[in-house]
Amino acid sequence: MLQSMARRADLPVGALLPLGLLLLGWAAMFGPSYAELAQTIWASDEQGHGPIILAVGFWLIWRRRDALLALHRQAERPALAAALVLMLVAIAAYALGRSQVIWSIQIAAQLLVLAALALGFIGPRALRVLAFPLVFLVFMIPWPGDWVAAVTTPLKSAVSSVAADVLHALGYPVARTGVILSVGPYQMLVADACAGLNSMFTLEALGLLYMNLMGYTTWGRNLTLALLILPIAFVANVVRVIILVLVTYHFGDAAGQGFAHGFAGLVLFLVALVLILAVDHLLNPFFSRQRAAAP
Amino acid sequence: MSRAGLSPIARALVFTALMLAAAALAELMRPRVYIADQAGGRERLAAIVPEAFGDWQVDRSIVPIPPSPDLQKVLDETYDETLARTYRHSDGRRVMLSLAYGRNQHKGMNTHRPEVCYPAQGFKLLTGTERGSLSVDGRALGVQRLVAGLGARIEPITYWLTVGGEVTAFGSEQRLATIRYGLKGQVPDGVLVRISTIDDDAASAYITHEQFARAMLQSLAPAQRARLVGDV
Repeated sequence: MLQSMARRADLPVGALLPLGLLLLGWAAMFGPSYAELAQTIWASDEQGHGPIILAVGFWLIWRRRDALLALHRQAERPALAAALVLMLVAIAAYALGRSQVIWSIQIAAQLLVLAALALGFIGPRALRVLAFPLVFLVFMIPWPGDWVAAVTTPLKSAVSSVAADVLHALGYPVARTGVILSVGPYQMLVADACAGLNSMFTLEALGLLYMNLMGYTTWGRNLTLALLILPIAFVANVVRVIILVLVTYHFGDAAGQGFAHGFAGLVLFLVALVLILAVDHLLNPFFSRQRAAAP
Repeated sequence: MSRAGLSPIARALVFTALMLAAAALAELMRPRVYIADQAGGRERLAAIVPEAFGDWQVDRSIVPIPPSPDLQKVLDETYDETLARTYRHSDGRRVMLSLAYGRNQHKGMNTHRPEVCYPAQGFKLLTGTERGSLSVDGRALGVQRLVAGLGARIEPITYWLTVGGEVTAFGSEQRLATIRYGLKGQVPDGVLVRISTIDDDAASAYITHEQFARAMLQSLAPAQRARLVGDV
């Protein structure tokens, strides 16, 4: 990575005007979507991870500017016709998604536009350079409400049930009816956010980022880690619910709803990150530590 | 540098123009006419559904359990009117009626979807959702049926959903119906009608639901009935 920094050249002056124009077009196309998302889906507990994924996605693209410029200098040929076709598909998807409020299509169109720009300005090999950021950005495509509900409801049940079992085994007076936990005098409703769909998306994206930055190239290893993140996120959410129940039980309702609520969210991520690092470490013996040369 | 035949600036102009066109096209395609505002607006559901019809009468001795504050906030944001009543038959049977109305079906009605809203209140779904149909005025009304339970309380549910003038089901059917209107430039409204009873015997409960629905719908004038069951 240090080497690539040393070689890093600034963007050629000739690229600034086209880049500015494209950013203007991007802002006109997706600016209103972001503004609306900020007030709806991104403000929700289930899918609040969108803006972070977007920002990291763009940073990942920016990180690859040298590789893209190098391709350009190697006389990679832009595939303008393919780019225009892809662009038309993107426009159709976007216009349908935006006018009919189908968020998944509307936001997925971003990926098509990015791919079209890569094809139209640099060439097919640019798609390979941008493969990781594009896959990463898939995580910001909002899920249809039905899917969220279909996953959230059983997940919430499972989180409440495991949390109740653990607390019961520890000797706490816990009873569970569906997603309502009763502890001593208190009743707590396990909210949608506690299902942890949001944290699963975020952790999965963070995990991908971690693998990419570590330069792992073994598919088996990346896939194993990516799959293990799901149970890790689940465990982290159970820990979070347990903490909230314990805080409420020992310090009262106000404590459980106040500072501790935000704190428990932080603990969730700490627990998950520690587990991810630990699992990754445990994977070492199974996969020879092949690292890619600096990207 | 114009290996593709066009200079980078020319290409940037083309792609930027395409992106601007996409934004403009989406704006042009956006539906603007609210069906709810056509033909002099919509009456409130509370004014349409009578407090007594056939052998049924509102039972004021039972106040429906209000939703939790969290849920109430979501409901207020999603619906333009909700109505919950308990009716009592002269033979003593009780039926809970819950109506939710949304002017803009692009927002969906998912928070009130029984498969979502019952578990959210701690209920377990004891059966999957089955499709059924009620015969009302020689017309088959497509409904969904399921049983939810909380402890000893077993609650069979019959419900249906309209989008604009169509009876539909939750999920992709509701989305597609909304989009069909949307592509014609219309924003459809929609009603969710949910009928439930506390009854261990689902089969007899569904018969009660059907009798109740038929009595209620038959007491309404055609235009008002269309509010609840569509007009297609």
